[in-house]
Amino acid sequence: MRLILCHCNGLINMPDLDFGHDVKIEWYDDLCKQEVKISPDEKVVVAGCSPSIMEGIFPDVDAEFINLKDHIFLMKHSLDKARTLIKAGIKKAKSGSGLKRKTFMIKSKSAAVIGAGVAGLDLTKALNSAGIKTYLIEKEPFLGGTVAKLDRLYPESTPWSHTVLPLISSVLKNKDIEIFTNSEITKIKGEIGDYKIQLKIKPRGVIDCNNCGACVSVCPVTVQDDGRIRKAIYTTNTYPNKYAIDFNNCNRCGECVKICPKKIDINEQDKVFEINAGAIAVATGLKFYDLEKVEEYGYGKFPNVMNVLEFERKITDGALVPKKVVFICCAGSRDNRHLPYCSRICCFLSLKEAKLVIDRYPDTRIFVCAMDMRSYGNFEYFYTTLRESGVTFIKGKPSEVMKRNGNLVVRVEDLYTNELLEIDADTVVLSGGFVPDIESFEKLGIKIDGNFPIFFESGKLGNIEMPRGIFVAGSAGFPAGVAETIIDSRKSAFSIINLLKKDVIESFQPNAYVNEDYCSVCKTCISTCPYNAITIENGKIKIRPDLCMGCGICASACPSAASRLEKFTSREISEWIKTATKPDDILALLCKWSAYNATETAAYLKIKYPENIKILRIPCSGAVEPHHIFEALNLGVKGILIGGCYPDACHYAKGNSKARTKEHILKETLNLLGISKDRVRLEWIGKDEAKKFENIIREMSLVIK
Amino acid sequence: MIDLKKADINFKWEITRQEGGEGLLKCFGCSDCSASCPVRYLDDRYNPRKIIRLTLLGMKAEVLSSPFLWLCAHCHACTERCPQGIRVAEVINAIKNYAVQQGYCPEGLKVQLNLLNNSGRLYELEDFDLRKRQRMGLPEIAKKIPDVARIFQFTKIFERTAK
Repeated sequence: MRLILCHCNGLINMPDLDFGHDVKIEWYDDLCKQEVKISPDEKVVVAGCSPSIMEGIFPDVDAEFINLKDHIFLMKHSLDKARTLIKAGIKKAKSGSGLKRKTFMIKSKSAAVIGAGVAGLDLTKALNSAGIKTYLIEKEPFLGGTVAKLDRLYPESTPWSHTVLPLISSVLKNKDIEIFTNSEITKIKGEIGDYKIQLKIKPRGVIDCNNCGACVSVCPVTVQDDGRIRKAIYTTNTYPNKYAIDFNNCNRCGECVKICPKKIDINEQDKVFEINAGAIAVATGLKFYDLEKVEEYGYGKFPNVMNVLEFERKITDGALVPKKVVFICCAGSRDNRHLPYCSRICCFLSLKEAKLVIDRYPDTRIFVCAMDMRSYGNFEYFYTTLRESGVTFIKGKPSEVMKRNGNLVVRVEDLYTNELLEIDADTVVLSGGFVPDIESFEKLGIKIDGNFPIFFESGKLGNIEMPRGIFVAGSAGFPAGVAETIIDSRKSAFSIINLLKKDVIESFQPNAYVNEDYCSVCKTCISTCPYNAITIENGKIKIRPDLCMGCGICASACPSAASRLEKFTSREISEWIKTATKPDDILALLCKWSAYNATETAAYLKIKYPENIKILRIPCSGAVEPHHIFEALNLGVKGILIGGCYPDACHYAKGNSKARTKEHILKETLNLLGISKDRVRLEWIGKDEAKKFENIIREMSLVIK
Repeated sequence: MIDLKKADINFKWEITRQEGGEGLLKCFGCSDCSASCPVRYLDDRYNPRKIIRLTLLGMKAEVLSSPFLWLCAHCHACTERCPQGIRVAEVINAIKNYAVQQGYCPEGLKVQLNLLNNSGRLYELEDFDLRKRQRMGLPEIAKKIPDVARIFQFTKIFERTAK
């Protein structure tokens, strides 16, 4: 084994090192300026400065790092401690089985984009400009998504045609794009770089069309389509430029077939199609919250209570000429009975509709009731213009919408005046929130965090935010305006291009694995994994290497020690503890994301802590296994400090809260055994909180005798 | 409870057309004016935020007839602090002017106008005051200033406030 030591520009000097005949000692002046050749299969021990710096210098090396600079030389601790730490590092490296290199082949160089709204179209355009074959899958018969149903976009009130029509035409121009309308994903198989997607293409009904519109005149079925009345056979002014039958409402009377000069087939069957893609982009867009659930506002009960989309379509159609309109923002949003979150764009939607009314009918009385007008960034200007154009804003959430003498009455307490108001109106517009398209996320295995998918799972596989090769773009991730959607879809496009341009992606970081000989398939680990990386396949627990982030929480929860984290297996850690600690030492197991950094800060700030502290860098406070603590106590260690990130700040979502639970149980056990519970401490230490670290250590040295 | 049926849609527009009332519509009700107001600190019946918000709702009669409208001391602390740059004290002034135009002149103001008309002073000078001035070595001043009455005649202030 090679022991690589760095003089760190003269700071580190250790004479007479000897760790046995099988350890080859090499000294370098400055590792950060020199190149050291290490073969990929070799295991080495590197002693020098901070591991976070050395990880950058040796990115693809299976190395054990020892922080001599911060923990010994800057702290002016003895060379004996340094020797012990190096010895412990060598023991740990020797006892472990080492890192395994994980490779993922990018077999398919094409991408599938689900949803042909603004996000999907922009993504397709961007991917295609990079020469990637793209499949665009849309569940509706026409492209354009929610935006194509609107009249205009906020805040400038430009018609959507400015944005979406050029996008559609640039997508259509290209031969390397395959568009599937009326299509849904039924099955999905594979992993990053090689997905097999099965599509169900629903019948369009209209086979050949010359847009004469004769079918519409004979169709007996009228359909309410988000505030607009249309027939069951219809068209829009996007792509494809032909009619389609809405089979959910069609009564199959066959009148259109008779009159059509071209060809309509109402008995067309579903088709199944399979595509192959290396990456998938989810751009399924917005889904309105069902406002009928917000009973007090009477949506669905009173015909003049409508949502923003219906209002916009009715106004632009001329079907509605309001005299007095009340907008209710946060209808069902920020409400624990409905949607507990803020959907971000609904405030602007009501501002946009208010402007639409003023532009068309300047004499209309407009009230906007909002708990808070959340006009972030430059949208504040939009809000100010509307106030100046005479819209009355009321601060308060209306309690209910009633009907009195044929008029709608909105009751609200205005917090600006502390007065109760009853506003009678002919139209009430509810600006409700949006919900994620859970169905499609579940199909793709994307995890929902609370209400919306986790955007960035990790940067573990290079620049790819989503290690599965599945990317969420635009409003599918979280409600966004058109500008934000386009920014987001371009970011996803960048990541997809980056992924598909490679043939292989490699990861050389610790992963968890299961030793099947010990595993009893108790499934404890499945629920502990913050990334849904653990699955059962053929009755055996399997940890997906593409999803595992190496936190070690599953390993610490495993009752049979079957689940293990590479480089942090029980054996390696107990070897380290046995070699590094002496009786009356304090053992500090510090999370590498925060608490460990505090010790480095202490070194730079010259905050001294006693010499008998032995620090081990661990991936997460949640990865500490209780038996290591008993082992350490058995060896006569005075106290054990586990350092983690502050609540909610855990790099692995919930590792620290798991550590807290474990700490409670552990302390109860210690109590039963007659061991003082002060000897084990779990503390949250921020990355710069060197002073706090020092105080805790001093307290521990004083309290434990 | 406010009855919005009595609201006057044009009230806020009328105030914005008054001199000083231009910024009214920018108000988003942060209440910085009320928090800065020394009168509000002493007497919570005066509240500039509430006056402005009621104006925006169109509660004309309620705003104009309120005696508390006239409590503003014109210290302009609100104007200094308004985040939207509304000259709040001047908006209050504009509402006062509009109130007088609409015949909502408070009795106190009328009494003051009469005092000014009679003597040209809000506090009439007695012989006692003049003797006191003499003792302190201050110059003699006229008991009455007839110019003020002439200004009143010229501006027809009594016709305006008589409504």
